[in-house]
Amino acid sequence: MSTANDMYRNEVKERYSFSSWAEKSKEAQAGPYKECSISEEGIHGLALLDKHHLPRNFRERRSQSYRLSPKDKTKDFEELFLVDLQECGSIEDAHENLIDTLMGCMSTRLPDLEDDIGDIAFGSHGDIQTSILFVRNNVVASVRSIGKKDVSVVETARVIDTFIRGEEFRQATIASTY
Amino acid sequence: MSRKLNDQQLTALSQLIDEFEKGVLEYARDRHTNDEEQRIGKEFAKLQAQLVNMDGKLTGLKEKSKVNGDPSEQDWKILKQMQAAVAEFVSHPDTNFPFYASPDLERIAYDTSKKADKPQQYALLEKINSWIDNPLSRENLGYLADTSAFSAHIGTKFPIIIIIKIWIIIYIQVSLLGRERRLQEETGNESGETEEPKGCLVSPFSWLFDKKPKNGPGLDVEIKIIVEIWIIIDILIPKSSSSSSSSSSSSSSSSSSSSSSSSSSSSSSSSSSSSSSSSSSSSSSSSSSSSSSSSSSSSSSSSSSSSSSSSSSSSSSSSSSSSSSSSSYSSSSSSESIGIYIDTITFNHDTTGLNKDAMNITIQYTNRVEIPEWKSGHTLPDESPAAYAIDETRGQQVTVVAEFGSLSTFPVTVEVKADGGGVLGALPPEIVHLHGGPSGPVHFKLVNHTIGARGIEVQNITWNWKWRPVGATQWQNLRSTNHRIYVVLKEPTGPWQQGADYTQYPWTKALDYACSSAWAGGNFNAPGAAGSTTRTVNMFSGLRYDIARGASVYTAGNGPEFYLSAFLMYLDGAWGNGNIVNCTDCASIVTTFSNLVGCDLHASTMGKGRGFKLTDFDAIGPGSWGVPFNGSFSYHEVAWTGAGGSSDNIYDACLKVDGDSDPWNAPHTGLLPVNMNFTMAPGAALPIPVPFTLPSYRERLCSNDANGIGRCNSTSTWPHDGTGGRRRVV
Repeated sequence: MSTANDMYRNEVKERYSFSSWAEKSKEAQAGPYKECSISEEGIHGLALLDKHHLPRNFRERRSQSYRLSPKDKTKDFEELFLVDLQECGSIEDAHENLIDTLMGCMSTRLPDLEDDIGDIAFGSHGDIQTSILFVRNNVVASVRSIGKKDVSVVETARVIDTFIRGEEFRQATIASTY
Repeated sequence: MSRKLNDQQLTALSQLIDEFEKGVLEYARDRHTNDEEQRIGKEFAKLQAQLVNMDGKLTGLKEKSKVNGDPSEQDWKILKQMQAAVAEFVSHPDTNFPFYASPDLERIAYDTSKKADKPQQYALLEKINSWIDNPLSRENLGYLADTSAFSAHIGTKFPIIIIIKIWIIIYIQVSLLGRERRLQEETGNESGETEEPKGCLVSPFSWLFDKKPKNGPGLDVEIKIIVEIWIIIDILIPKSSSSSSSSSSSSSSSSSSSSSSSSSSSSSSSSSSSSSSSSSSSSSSSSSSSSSSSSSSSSSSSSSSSSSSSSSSSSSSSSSSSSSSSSSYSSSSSSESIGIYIDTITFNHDTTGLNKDAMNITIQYTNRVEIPEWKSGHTLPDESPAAYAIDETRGQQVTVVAEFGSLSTFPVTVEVKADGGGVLGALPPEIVHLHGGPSGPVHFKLVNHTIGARGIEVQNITWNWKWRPVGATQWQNLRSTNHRIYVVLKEPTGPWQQGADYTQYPWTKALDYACSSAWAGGNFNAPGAAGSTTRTVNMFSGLRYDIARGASVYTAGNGPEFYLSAFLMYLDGAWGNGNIVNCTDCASIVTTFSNLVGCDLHASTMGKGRGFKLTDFDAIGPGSWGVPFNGSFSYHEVAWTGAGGSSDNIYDACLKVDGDSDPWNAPHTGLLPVNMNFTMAPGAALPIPVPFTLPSYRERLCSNDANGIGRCNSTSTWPHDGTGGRRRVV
């Protein structure tokens, strides 16, 4: 890795006070979540329009991108959400991945999200939270409003967070552990 | 004089049937054996048989005409209209449902009977049309055409309705002539009431099923039955399904040969009957009669005959010369069943190079362009795409390769050429040897191409293929083929490649945009192409800047892939990942689309590290001058030339900088950074004094101080992408 990029990474970590939240998770005792994939049925009132795999880096076990829309508004793209879920091997990896994602933001510092979503979460500039980036345990989630209308993604992010923490993943974890 | 008119009329009708039958043969060549297809096959066989019956009727008419005189001038005009209608049908560039594409054809069919002022026939035509519209409605035919069975059977191109309708036109006209002849005959004989309803249309099959007409074809009946049987066999038995069927086909061809010669003898007998009147008309009759037995080559002689109407002698001489070439051709090829067809057309016949042919392309990611690019069944231009590079093909002998086939089992040598062709130009004649199977590859030189004359472009082209027997003068229509041709400056650069990874071949779905006049089309050099692309992305793509986060939606930020499929969805109106983008998206779009047409850009960054302060700019999308994110960028990414250094030029579709002499203060003058030097004032003391007139990107983007201009340096590509700023397209 080049020195310039190392410098940039460190710069970003510093901007986001990385050391204060790195390697910490409210769900650490649950172990890493697995099989974090939204099914074709969609999720809590959100219809899944399509999904595709994202390129994985060395920290990721699974990386998928989903386009979701409220079930009654799937035709016109007025309200559309882009949800990226990166399932990493560990909490540490997830946090490093979050830094990767933050490095790709032109904003020098995203606002902290004052909410209980994720272990660590960042919101967006502007009056409406059209974008939320958070980490829950070993999963990095990016939730963005990409429809024709700018809408808040807070509720959608909360749904995704609940989904990540869902019982099915814990069971999957237990099953794979034993 | 009057005799000549009659011959012309009959010749025209012969040609009409000829051309029509040739079309049926061509499109009926792919045959299968399941029930539905057999049913359709029988329909074709029936039509074929009916056409042969028409020939018989014609022969009868001709004989009668020798006795009873000529048809009216009006009828001659009608026949000319029919001829024009069928010629339009045969040569129509949109061979897929030409009736739908050419309402004129239908109109002519109606007008023919209207203008003829024959209410009885018009009523019958309406009745028959009504019949067509019910049991064989267009919807049904459209459905049939969509089914694979029908497609496989007739190559998706020859709807039964067309056959039926054209047959009906011929039916009516022949019946009309028959009626007049009969009326004349009856009047002449003064026999009064007859057993047959003479005032009504006479079935063309009456000679077969009814009492033999007084001056009917006589011995021809048996000959015609043989021809019918042969055609039915030819229609129903797949040509290459098995050796037994092939031998059967062979024997059927033999019988066709004998029928052909028999037909010749019949025509010679008719000639001899007419020779008592005129020897010149005898030779002409012979020609048309030979044509009546569905000889394509003799239809050319017919054509030459009918085209020369002013001079009897010239008519007969051209007719006889064609006739001689036709007869030598007939003797070797069983001309009525030659059924020459185009099997394939290959543009990219050398996948290792792009100097002498088209380059490797794919449709989109894993959706490949199959080679040969054109096969029977392809109708739309985008089903047969090809891309050429101006630089690499300049001064080279570029060729396309076509393969032909014939329904005949006899060896035949013909010439084939193609008119039209747009940017690829007309194809000069090439000799094609047919031996009852595929011709093998035939190279056609693109000697008339205009690749590069209009710079980058995308063009739908049509080749109107024609053929003729070697030595003949008249070209005959074979068919039309449609293709989409892309022209780019030179071999596309990364991420696009011509190597092993076909997913990174130039995508036609992207070329559709990149080569269009709305994007880089019409440009003759790389800076122009990249500039046009940058302008289109900035001003006309509907994208807007992500002021919430400044994050990429069409890449994984600093990752190695550009989600081009999603972006194409957006361009196609299916929204994709939406219209909110950041600089990485814009840089990737400009790089990818520009490199697709032969530019050499890469997406590269500036200011990575501590970020840098901005001066007001006009971000992509509707908005106003200002700065997002509290006035700073964490980094910025643009499409860069060269090595991405300070002295290299950039293209930035993400924003417009202030182009006036004071870029750090209002008022602002929007300047889209197109082929703009990154910095022309490296190391300049800060702040830079105004007026500042250099077309220097960095100085016009950043605040005029150490935290702005002072921190904004080129910082290369993202380390993770591993592509040198040319993200893989997925």
